[in-house]
Amino acid sequence: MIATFRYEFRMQIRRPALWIVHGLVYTATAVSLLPLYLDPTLGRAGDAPKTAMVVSASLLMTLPPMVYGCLITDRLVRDRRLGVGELLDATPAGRTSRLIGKYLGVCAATAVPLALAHTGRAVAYAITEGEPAALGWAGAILVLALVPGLLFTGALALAGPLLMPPIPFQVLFVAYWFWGNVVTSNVMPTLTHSVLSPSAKYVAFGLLGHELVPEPAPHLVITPESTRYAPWPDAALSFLRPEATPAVACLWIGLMLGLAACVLFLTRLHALRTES
Amino acid sequence: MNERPEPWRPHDPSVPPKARARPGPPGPGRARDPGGPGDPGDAGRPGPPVEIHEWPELRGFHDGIPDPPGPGIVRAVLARSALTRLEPDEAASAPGPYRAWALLTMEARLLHPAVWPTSALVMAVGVLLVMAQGQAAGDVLSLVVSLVALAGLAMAYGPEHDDAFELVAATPVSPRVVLLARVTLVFGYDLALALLASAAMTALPQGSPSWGLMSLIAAWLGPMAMLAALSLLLSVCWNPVGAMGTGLAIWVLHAMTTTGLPVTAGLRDFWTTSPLTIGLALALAVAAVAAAGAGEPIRRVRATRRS
Repeated sequence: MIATFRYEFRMQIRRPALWIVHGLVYTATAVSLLPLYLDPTLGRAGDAPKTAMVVSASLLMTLPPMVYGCLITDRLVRDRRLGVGELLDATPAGRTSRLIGKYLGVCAATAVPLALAHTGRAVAYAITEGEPAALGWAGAILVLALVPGLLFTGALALAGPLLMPPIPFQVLFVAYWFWGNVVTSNVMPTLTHSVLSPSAKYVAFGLLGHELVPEPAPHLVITPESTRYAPWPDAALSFLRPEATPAVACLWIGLMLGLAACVLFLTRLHALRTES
Repeated sequence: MNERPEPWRPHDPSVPPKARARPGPPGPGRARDPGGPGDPGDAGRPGPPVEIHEWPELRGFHDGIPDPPGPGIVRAVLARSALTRLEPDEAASAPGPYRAWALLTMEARLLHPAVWPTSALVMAVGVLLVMAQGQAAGDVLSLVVSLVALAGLAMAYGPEHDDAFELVAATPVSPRVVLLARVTLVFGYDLALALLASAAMTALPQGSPSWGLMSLIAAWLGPMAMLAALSLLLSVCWNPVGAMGTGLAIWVLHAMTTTGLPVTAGLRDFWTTSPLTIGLALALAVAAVAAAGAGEPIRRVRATRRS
């Protein structure tokens, strides 16, 4: 598993497309939401480093995970397409350990640009504002809020092309991400802000004690629904949006990790069926 | 002194053609000669040539066989592969609509089979979402329809997703005709699905009757045509992944505007059905047809021609 992790990580981290597309999309996100990027504290004085890092992570989980998922989609079917599947089967590594190594290696490598962007924003904030605490909050948010969502997203993107070719799956994945993580309930029924959403901020609101200002600054576009983590009034699927508490934050982390494990288990079952 | 017989050479030009038959088992009227091909002690050693007419089962096999066809058979087979069910002579004289229909049916077999159910499934999900909450029917339908169209057109043409691409390229049918046939199939299918979805939304009480059929069609027709044409042009000139990525970037930028985020406000002006968007879509589609077969894609410059 370690060997698979290492070569999958190296193969993915050396893809020029990984850096080019991530850079373009993150730049586009920052430019599009420039007020939020330049003033991540939302005008708050207290707990400014924590608020800044939560907002920075929110920006990071808006569009870049679409790229993260799309860049993972071809990794599992690639071995079969290149005809090296039988060669890898001849190695001492078992199929399960190879699947786990590939999953972790690919996810880790594809998340490196996201982690660099998040850490870079924290370093810039710490230097410009003189708040070194931002580095600690950035690390905590990265581990507790970003990694579980990215692990589930990575498992989904890795296994999806077993059902259909990678390109149609990439389109469906982008549509899923927009529907389940970005769109608000006044447009269509959605999973946004629910415990099944990989970009949900239950950790920030429930575990880290983050709060949004009741009256945000006028240049910031914050919908009233996004200021609270609780069931949205008159919205479908609101039973999936419990009030943000530490227990619900832990439930969200467990759900993300559990769903990722389920997807990987189904992937292994699919491989077993093709073996027989 | 070596007494072994001369090995039999099937392609020895000194042997007359009629004598180049494979040695066979002894027939009913033949005696088994020691050292002959039927001798068990001589297994593996080739025997002398035997006349083909000595095989009772193959008597008359050589007689009556027509002469091998000339070089014209290559063109005839290629024409038949493009227009099946027709003999080569019939293909040239068949009426145009019949030939077009034959071409469409053949091209439908070459498109990826996942295109049809996936498009229908995504469209059905869009209809269900609108029926669950029909306030933004036009926005949702324009997003779903344009997404389906850009994905279908990006995969419609090119060697990346067509195992028979080089075979089809070797047929007498022009690449532009092949491209037009595939665009007709994919875009026509997506258009029919979108019309059906619009009709369902306006007809069913759970949909959004307040929109009206024509206003609903106007919400998605222009964006669908423009994104599909852009995706087609990029897949012909560049590659399907680049076409898909560019189309998705535009799609996501527009989709973000429905969330209230301040994303490039001018983009909504292009997300309508207007003479500008329809004209732009036509221009992009014409450029794609002109580019098909006219040169090599960007990704493989001089891959086949040195000059």
